[in-house]
Order: sequence, then C-alpha cells, then structure tokens
Amino acid sequence: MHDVFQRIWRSPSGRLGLIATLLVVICGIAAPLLATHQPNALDVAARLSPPSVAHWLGTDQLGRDLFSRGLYGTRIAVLVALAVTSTALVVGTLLGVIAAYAPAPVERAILALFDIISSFPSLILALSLVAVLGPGLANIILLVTVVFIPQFGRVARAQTLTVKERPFLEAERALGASGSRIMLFHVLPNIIGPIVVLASMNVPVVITLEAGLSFLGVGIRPPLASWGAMLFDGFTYLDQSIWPVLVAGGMLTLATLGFTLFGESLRDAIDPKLRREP
Amino acid sequence: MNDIWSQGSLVRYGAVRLAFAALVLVGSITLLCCLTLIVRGDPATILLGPRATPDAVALFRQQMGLDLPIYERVFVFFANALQGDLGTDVISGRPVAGLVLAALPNTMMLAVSAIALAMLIGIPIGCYAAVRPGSVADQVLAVLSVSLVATPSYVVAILLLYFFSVRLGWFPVLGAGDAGDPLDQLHHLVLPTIALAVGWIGYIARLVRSSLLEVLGEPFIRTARAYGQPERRVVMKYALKLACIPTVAILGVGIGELMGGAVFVEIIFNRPGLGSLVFKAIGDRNYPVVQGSILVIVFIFVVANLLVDFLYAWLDPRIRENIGRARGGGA
Amino acid sequence: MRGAITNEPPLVEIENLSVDFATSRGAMHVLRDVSLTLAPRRIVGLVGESGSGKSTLALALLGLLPTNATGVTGRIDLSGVDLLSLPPERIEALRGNRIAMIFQDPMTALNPVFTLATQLIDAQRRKFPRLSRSELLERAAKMLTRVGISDARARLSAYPHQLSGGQRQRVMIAMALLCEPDVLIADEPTTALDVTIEAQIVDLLKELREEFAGSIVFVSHSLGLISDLCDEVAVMYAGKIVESGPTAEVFADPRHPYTQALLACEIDPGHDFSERLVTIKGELPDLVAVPQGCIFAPRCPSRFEKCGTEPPPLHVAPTHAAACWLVE
Repeated sequence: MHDVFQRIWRSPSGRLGLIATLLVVICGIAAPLLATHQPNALDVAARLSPPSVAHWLGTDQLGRDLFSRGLYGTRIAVLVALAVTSTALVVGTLLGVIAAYAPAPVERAILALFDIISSFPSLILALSLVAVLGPGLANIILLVTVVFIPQFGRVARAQTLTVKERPFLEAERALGASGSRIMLFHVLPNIIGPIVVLASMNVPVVITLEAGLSFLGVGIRPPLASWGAMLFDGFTYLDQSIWPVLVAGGMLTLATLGFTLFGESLRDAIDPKLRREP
Repeated sequence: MNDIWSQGSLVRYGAVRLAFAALVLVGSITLLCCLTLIVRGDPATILLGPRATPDAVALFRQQMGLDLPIYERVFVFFANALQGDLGTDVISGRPVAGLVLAALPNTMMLAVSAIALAMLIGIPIGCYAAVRPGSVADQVLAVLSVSLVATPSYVVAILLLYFFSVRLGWFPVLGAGDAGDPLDQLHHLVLPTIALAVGWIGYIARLVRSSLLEVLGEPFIRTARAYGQPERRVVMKYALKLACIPTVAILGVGIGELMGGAVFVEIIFNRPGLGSLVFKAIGDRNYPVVQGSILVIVFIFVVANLLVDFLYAWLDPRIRENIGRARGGGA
Repeated sequence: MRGAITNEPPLVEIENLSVDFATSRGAMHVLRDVSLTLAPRRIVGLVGESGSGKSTLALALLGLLPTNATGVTGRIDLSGVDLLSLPPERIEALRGNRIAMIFQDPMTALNPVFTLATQLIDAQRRKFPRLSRSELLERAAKMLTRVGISDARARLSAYPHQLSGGQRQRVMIAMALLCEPDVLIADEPTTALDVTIEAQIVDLLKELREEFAGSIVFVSHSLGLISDLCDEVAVMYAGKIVESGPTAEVFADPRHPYTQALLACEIDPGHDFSERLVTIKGELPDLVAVPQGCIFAPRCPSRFEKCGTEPPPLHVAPTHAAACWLVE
C-alpha cells in the first residue's frame, strides 16, 4: 500500500492528480465552511456580474454567488461519484464472482444481462431510465449505478476465473476451507486490485455523466447546485455573461482532470505490467 | 482456406457474431418495453391530460396496446418494427418511423465526421509521440491529451459556440444548414464535429502511442529490423497495424458514446437529429417516439459494434479462432 | 572443403569489443574486450551460460543492441569496414543482405498479423531489390520446401499462429537463407523447442551446412550441439572469451578450468548415477562491479597468486588459445 502511494507521488502527473483529488474532496466536505455565501442566496441586483470583491467568481442569472454554488456543486459531484462507484463496485463484483463460480446457465444469464446493459450507449441508457424513473438525486444515483455495473462485473469475473485455478486455492480446499471463506479471504484480496483501478478510472466518467444529465435537466434539479445544472443556466444566458459557464465548466473539467490523472497513476502504480517503460 | 466454413474464416466469425448481436438486440428492447411497465402513473392519463374522458383513455390504451400482457406487447412491437412500423407519435400523430428516418442522417453525419476527424488527427499524433518518446513534443502531447479527454463534450461545445459563433461570428449558431446546400451544411457541421471529436482525439492519441510503444518492443519488430527493413516500413507497416487494434476495439464503444455526446451537441447547437428527438420526446412523455428512436439507436450501436468486431478480426487473424468470445465480453 | 584452414583474410574480425548496459545500479559490463575472428566458410560456435554475453555479441554483429547499450568500444570489421562506425542507414543496408540472424524463440519472432508470404518477401528486399513480388514469392516457396515444410505454397498464405514451433523455426531458417548472407548468426535456434523437434532442426542444419556458402556464428549453451555442428568454438564466461580454437581440439584438450568444468558437467550416456553430478561451485560475478583479476578465479579450483592479474589469451597451439595463467 505504502509503496503504491510512493509511486503515485513520484510521478508528476500522479502528484497533480492526487492533490487535485484531495482538493475536490476537501472542497466537497468543507463547502459550508469555505463558501462565502449561501448557495441559494439571491442578489438579483448583481445578477450575471463578473468576478468582484463581493462575488469572487461572479454571479448567475438569479444573483447567486458562483464561487459558493461551485463549492456546493463539488459536494454533489463527490457524493454522486462515491455513491455510484461504490454501489456499482459492490453489486458488479458480487455478480461477477457469482458468475465465475455458478453453473453455466446462471453465468450465461448474468453475462447476458451485462451485454444487454452495455448494448446501450451510456447516456442513452441513462436517458431511458430517466424517462421511466423521473429525475432527482436518488434516481440519478440509481440509474447511473446500473450503467456501470457490467464493467465491474466483467472485470471481477475475469479476475476470479484467473485466480480460481491457482494451486493455493486447491490447497485451501484440501484443507477443508468452506466456499464462502475461500471467496472472502482468498479470492477477494487477489481480484481487488484491477477493480479498484477500474473504480478510480470510472469516477470522472460518473461525474461527467451526472453533470451531463443535470445539464439536460433530467438529473439533479435546482435549487440543488449541480455543476451540470449551473452549466445549463449559464448556457441559457451565454450572451449576457460567460462566467457561469466558465465557473461550472472549469470546476467540472478540473475535477475530472484531477480524478483522471489520479486514476491513471494509481493504475500504473498497482500493475507494473501496465507501466510504460521510459 | 477453400472451405468457407473452415477454421479461421472471417465469414464464420461474422456469422456467429451476427447471431449473438441479434440476441442482444432483442434482449435490450425487451428490457426497454419492460421499463415502460414500471412507469409511475398511467401513461394514458398523463398524456391525454386529467380532463380526458374514460372512453378516450380506454381508446388510447387500446391503440397503444397498453392493455396487452407484456410479452405480447414486446412481440407486437417487434413484429411491427420489422415491417417498418415503429408506432405513432402521440402528440403529432405522425408515424415514428418517419420522424426517426428524417432525424437519422443528421446524427450519422455528425457521428461519422467526429470519428473520422478524431482518427485523422489522433492516430498521427499518437504515432509521432511513440516514435519520439520522452521528447518535449511527447510530453506536451501527454498533458494536452489528458486535458482534452477530461473536458466533457458539452463544455467544449458551449465554449466553442461562445467563442466562434457568438463572439467571432465565424460559424452559424444554430441548425444544420440548408438541406439543399452541402457547403452550408458543412459550415454548420464544423463546430459540432470539433466539439464531439476533441475528447476522442486525446484518447486515441494516447491509445495509439502506448500500443505502438508496446508493439515496437516486441521480438518480431526486432526480426523485421534484423532483416534490414527500413525503419519507416517497420513502424508504419509492421507495428502500426497491430498498434491500431486497441483503437479499433474501442471504436465500437466510441460510436455509442459519440451518439450520447450527439445529444448534447444537437441541443447546444440546436441541430435536428436523433439526439434532440429522443430528448424532447422524453420531456413530452412521448413514449412511442422514445421507444422507436431508442430502438434505432441501439440497433445502430449493435451494428456498429459488429462492424468493428469484423474489422478487428480482419486486422488480427488470431481473433478469428476465438469465435464465441465477444470483444471484452469474456475472460 | 568445409573445415579446412585457409589463408584467406578473415570475413569478420572483432577486436576488443566492449559493451556496457546502463542499469539503475550503474554500467553493467556485458562484454569486455572480446576479440574473435570469423574466417570464410567456417562455423564458429559461441558457448557459455546465460549471462555470458554470447547473445549480446551476436546482436552487436547485427548492430541491434538494445537502446540501453552504452559504452560500445572496439571494432567489428566486416571485409574492411568497421560496423561500429557506420551510420544507421548503412548498417540497415547490410542486414538481410550480408548478415542475417535466426532468433531464439520462434513463437515470438514472427509478426502475428502478417502472412508468411509477406514477411518472407519483405525479408528478401534488401538483397534482391530488383526482383518482382512473384519472383520473391517463388524463391520463398522453394526455400520453404528445402527446409522441410510440406505444401509450401499453401503455407505461404498462412499466419504464424497456425504453424507449430518447429515449423516456425524452419521458416526462420528459410528466411535467413533466402538472404544468402555472408554471415549467418544463429542465436540458440533450438533452445525454445522440444527435444524431438530440436533433433529435427539440428539434422536440417547439418544438411544445410554443406550447401551454405557463407560463415556461420552458432550461439548455444549446449556443448553437444557445438561439437556436432561447429568447426571452431569460443567459450565465453561473464563477458569474456576464455578459450577458443578448433572444436575437436578444445573439447579434447581443454586448457581453461571453466571449459574443463563445462565438459565435466555434461551428462554422458554412460554416466554412473551413483556418483554425484558435477557442478561448478559459486555464482556468476557481478557484472557491474567487476572484481579484479581473472574473472573465473573466485570459482576456479586451480587458482593461484598470479590469478590476481587478468590473464590475456595465451596460445596453447597456433589456433588454440586459453586465457589462463596455467597455460604457461
């Protein structure tokens, strides 16, 4: 664990990614402390104004402070990213491991489910599910999770299949270890690496998808401050002020960039085979 | 190689993949139909409004087939779809198939140009970076490509719109252009295509760079060099073909993501197309249009993936042996 | 006649070749002051353990040293031209033309996404730039038949993964012979093959040996193969040539303790298994921090005080030399 951390720190992009990620998480957690205004506080007189002393990054069309809204947007992004990724990871891994151990019909059914979910482009699937479930924070978390389950499932299954045949597992069975014990203590630790890497690489995708859905108006609705919703508001008033778009877009991009860099350096640090030789 | 069904034959590989894809398609649409079951509230009253009479509601339900059991609905839907009937638009009364077919070319034009642009720029950049690893150019490229990948397409689209249309006025702000004038259409196509392609340029460049670097370290490249192959041929012919395989592999997924991105771009640039059609229909709770257009989108996606699989097998003869495995689907 | 010692000028003369590899611990001295002569129409064997530098020597001849090879000094003379001083395009022009190589692992040495035809045709382009594609294809088909691949013409449109290991190695041999090189380097061509296949390939090499007009450098760790196939042998240890000379003479009268130990280690058919197998005590020296004196001294059973200084190759007979003070 420790040397993984060291390897990440040593590469410049990894260091940047780690710092950015921490920054985003801290902003998300500490948003109420760091914000200068209430995110929904109106200041209609100062609507669509550029950055000033009163409003560090300007205001949106209702006079709400962009800096503060942006910070609260971080909260949403981190919350959604965490909720979606962890749920998809757990469900997907469970299904994947089951598929690897289960009899053929069950395995085929699970794989078919994965294939069907991935036969939809992710946004289209999300939109279809939104059409059915309706918008809102909870629904978004649910449906974005569904979109990402197959990836985790396939990786988990592939990894389990590789690990399943290893001699030490046979030894454990010979010693009388039960199936669940084997799965928990021996299979899981060995497959967790690529799954964690996948999770970290998926976080920016989740954030982008959620922001996209909110942008379209079917995701997280105002007054909750989602970067996507802020972006849409900004787009509507683009000719009057570019600042809402810049703030929302900029924060979104920086967060995504940070998580991407972090995820990649994590991947490079964990799997030496994937590391590119200089 | 004489028998068309012999091992390693491209045809056999294609046939199996086709069958598999058809199954997946059927499954997806079934899922979709099932979803409309769990819609909250009664679609009929939602669409017709609270003042609809019970008779009108009953008639509507009968027309929509909402009173049939689920498996019959799916069957009817498919039976109709195969005949080209995708249902009727609830709001305008027009056939869905017509709406979709009108919107489709715009979206395809956009998607195809975006992929073409992304590959046209991304592959050479990736090659260049791989042949000069560690150089200044390589490092600049690395930073740039990550940034491009991280920026969502809708952010890029809005920024492009702002700077080049609103501010500079170089490109039109909305629409797809005059249907009869290809040059005008091209003019309208530029910014949306760039917006969609930008992220992919970065992604493809990095993918090509890392796969090319990996391939260049392989023993058979050393063999080629050992026989005096000029370096250019070694890289461009022997290494590149193999290095492009991962890029081709992600093309299938890429097309899907691109169609999703097209939704944003079409809305931002106010272009007609499948994306804006679906989106508007969802907002209107216009289920027939939603179902019909999503069927077409998924169909295109599945077909595109199939073509990509085919291309993949054509490029890498080793794959032709592994017939049952979907790319990325199995162990 | 093959094997006869001629007075012709040598085809290849390697003089004081040293090669370092850059590693995280410092420069690794893979080849140190190696000198070797290759006469026309002779087969020279390079024998040694893994890590002795024999493959590196082979690659140096081709100019295909890996990118972390620094500190390349010395001279490799091919018919009067110093290969080490040539610019890359000139060396490229020699490969597949005057020098050709058969690599060790046939499973990975061929490009998986191109047909054998494409690869065999391209391999000949250096030597025969004016021949048409169909002519090159014809030559390839004939050569494949010569090396024992049945149904050669059909095989040409196959991909490498459709062939067995033995067949692939035959293809590699064919590829090398098609170039009609002056120098053919075979880098452990049978090491990666099963024993039965190995025997077939060795038989093939023996057949081809008579027809081949150029010189061969045969790298191996197997003394048996070397004595079967080679006219001369150079024994390598830790980056140096410790003994060299005509094969029969060196194996009958080995003068360097390492050569003696190697020969003793070979298990012969009449071995009495109640006796312990002979091994060489100790390990390979560290090639980064090379110890002073004779490189084999730490493991040598007959070392004495003079071994603190590195011995030069000393002549036992006009063509037989061993780098050991005991020769005196």
